[in-house]
Amino acid sequence: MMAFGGYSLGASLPWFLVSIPIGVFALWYIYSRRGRQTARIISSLFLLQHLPRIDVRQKRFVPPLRFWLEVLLVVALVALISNVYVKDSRKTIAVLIDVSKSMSALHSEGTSRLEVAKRYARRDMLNVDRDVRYVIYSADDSLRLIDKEALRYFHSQSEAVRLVELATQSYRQDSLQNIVDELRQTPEFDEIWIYTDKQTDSSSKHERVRIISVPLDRNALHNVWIASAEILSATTDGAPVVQIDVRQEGLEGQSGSVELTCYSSRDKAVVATSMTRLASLQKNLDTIQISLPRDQWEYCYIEVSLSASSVRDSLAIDNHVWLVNRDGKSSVHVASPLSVEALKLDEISPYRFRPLSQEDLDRPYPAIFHRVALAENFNRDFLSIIPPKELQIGGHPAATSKVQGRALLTRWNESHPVMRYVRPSMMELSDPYVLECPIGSEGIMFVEQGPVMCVGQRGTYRYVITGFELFPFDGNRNRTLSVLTLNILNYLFAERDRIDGLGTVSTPLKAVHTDNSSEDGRVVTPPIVLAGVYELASKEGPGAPLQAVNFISNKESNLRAIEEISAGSVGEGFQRIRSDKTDASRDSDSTTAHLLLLTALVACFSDVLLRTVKRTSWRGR
Amino acid sequence: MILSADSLRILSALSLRTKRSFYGTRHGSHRSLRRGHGMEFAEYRTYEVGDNPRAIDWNLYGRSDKLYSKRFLEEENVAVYIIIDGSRSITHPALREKWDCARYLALATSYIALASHDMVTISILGGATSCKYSGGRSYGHIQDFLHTETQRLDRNSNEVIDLKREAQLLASRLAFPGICIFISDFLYPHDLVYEMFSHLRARNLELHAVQVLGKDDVSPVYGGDSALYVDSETGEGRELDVGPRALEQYNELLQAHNESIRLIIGGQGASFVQVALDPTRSVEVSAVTAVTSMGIFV
Repeated sequence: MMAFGGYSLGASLPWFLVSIPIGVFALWYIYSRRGRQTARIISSLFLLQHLPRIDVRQKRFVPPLRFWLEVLLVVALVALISNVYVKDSRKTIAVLIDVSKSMSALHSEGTSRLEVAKRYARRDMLNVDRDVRYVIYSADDSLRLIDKEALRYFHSQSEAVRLVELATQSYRQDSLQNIVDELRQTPEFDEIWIYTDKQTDSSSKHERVRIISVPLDRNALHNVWIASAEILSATTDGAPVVQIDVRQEGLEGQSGSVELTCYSSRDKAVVATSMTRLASLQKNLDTIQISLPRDQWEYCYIEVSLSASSVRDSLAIDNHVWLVNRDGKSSVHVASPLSVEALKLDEISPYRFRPLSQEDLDRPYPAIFHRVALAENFNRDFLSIIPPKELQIGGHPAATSKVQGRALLTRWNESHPVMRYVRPSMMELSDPYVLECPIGSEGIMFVEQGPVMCVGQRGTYRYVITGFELFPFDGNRNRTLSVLTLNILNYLFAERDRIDGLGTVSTPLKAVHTDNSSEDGRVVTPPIVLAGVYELASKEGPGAPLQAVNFISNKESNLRAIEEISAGSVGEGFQRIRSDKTDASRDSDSTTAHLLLLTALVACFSDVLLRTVKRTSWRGR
Repeated sequence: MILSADSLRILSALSLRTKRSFYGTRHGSHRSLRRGHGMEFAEYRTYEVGDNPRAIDWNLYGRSDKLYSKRFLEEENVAVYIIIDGSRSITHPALREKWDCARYLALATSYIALASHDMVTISILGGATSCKYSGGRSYGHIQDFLHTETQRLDRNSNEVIDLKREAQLLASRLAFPGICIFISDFLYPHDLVYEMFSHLRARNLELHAVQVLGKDDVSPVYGGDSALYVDSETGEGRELDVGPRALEQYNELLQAHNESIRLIIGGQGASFVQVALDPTRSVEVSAVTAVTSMGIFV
């Protein structure tokens, strides 16, 4: 192996390089003898013998361009087969920062463990020789390069110090032992530095792996956390119950509190709050059940916050979880002289219809106003069926006059979503009311006297007003109207929320543990980095409309538990690989191989091109 | 080897026109030296006992009071001799395109001659017997003959041919005067050409020479290197460096040689046509083009 300027040149099969002089000599011999032994039959020497004779044996051999190209081809191919490689002989150190959830715990210095780990990493990097390359990783349950956008894999000292600062806190559980084992098998690293809050296994010692543990003062560690949280099925009175499991370390006997906050699914405003005090935290487990009032908590993203009084909590991010109280059905309130059953709305499965109570009048619940007069201020999605004259919508009375007898539908807007699959041709309505569509709405269906259905939107809310009866929903008996009814309900009340509309809800969010396994019956979630409330969808279609994703881990939250990590033993891993004499092949830089292959291809192509051009030009003479 | 449909269509429009008249062996389409019962009046002759009384011109008798017999031009076929140089400079497998061209030339001229019921005789100079195919009236037979000859020449690949003796022997065997088409590359000394054509001219033939030159005859292979050039006739090898300058000299020599051949053959009263095979055209097309430019097929 030859070294030059911090790089070394070597080969896996150095003895095969002898082929280069042999091949070059063979080429030279072939070129120098070329043509002399080839007999070319011609008709007669009668004319050629009159040409001035040249003794070719005395002619000096001048290698043509093709000769040099083929020499290059031979050299490149032999080098490729010998696996010639250029290796950066500088020392390479992999720096791994543990960013799992426990690293956000407060250190006795007043900063987080992660900040302390970063400081240690910077200190160590500045104390070694500058001529060292670094690869900077962060790890929780998986290994990641800190700067994924960086063009280079290896970094100088100054770049590495800067990159360490970019390590960001994760909410996931760590899987550090597996990652260390994996890194240890990577031969390109001369040393591996690991910064974590785990303690080194005293029995393990590895010549390349160095574990730097953030020093912990166990006596000063206090933590209270939510071990699990879920909404149980509704009780007999229809109210859901939130069950929360609380654990603590170092806070036994202290008081605490659990606060539930209901954020509106529509405008993200705080709808309701609930506070439950915990008189004395138990050592192992406190299970709290909080029954939620049915109506207020109906459309909520629920944030559960746990706090301990009087003593500072070392790890604050495990005190919050997010829950979504959804059973997959949208609730629609109905204001009508008739009951929901009489209107046969209970036969429409995608929605849950319930009477509109007096208390709900000011709340923005979607509603159906059936032949009732209510002042509407456009603070909800609503369907109004045959509104009485006194109903003012946009300053105009919605229903004006009644058409006596049957009225034929004369025109309609087929392109509107509510008219999907509706074929009103030759359809007659019985005693319809002609409407005066509010400003901003449009007429969708018309009889000779005027519109009988208006559709509009004000802000984020939609509304539909019909001058004819849509209920009772009678299924197959009157298909056109049934389809129209379903279209209108879907247009107004189908779920339209998306998680990205959750901007007003405060983050970061935390939450329920998902093991990414379904063995215990829990939901398997896709890889979500940030805890929060998500709408999950699969290829088969939408799944649960909303899903709270939390990253609860007893292992990470239990700060006093002694977590040990093994560096491995001497002679393990990379040393074993070296003994197999395959280190050179592993060291070989694939770039070198690609360069040699490219050189060989270019030389081969040029050689063929030259042959072709020469032949063509001769024939063209 | 057969002529393609395109070539046959071109050749079908051609017919053989001789510069001179010859005695033929049977009725044909060429004016003969023989006087007889043709359609075209030739001359009067004093009536002699034995002449056919129906040939007497009675009008002339009324004016001159003498008996004259009318004589008419006879139309007969002619003998077409196609002589192919069978030396190794043409038949060598490495130079097979020249032999192929010669075969195409023979086939094309035979096709035209046979179409007007002329007698075709193909002779190939080469071998102890100077193989000869005489009296051919069938195009298919000529095809078979040339195919057989090709196989024979392949078998006797090392046979050395004395062209002068072969030409003399062949000339002595020709039975009738007629048209002779001599196909060769003429890449041999001028004296030999002169003597060969002298023997043929002595047989009162109308001579036509076709020179077939291969691609390497026009431009010997030049690869920028030296090579061992081997004479196909004698097997003699010579190591030469045929560079661009040498090629120019060679071209000048070839042009001078061809001009000399043209003069020698012209001096014997023969026409001369050159076929230089071109890689951009097929051998068959080159041969058919040469046939149309010979001047005797119109």
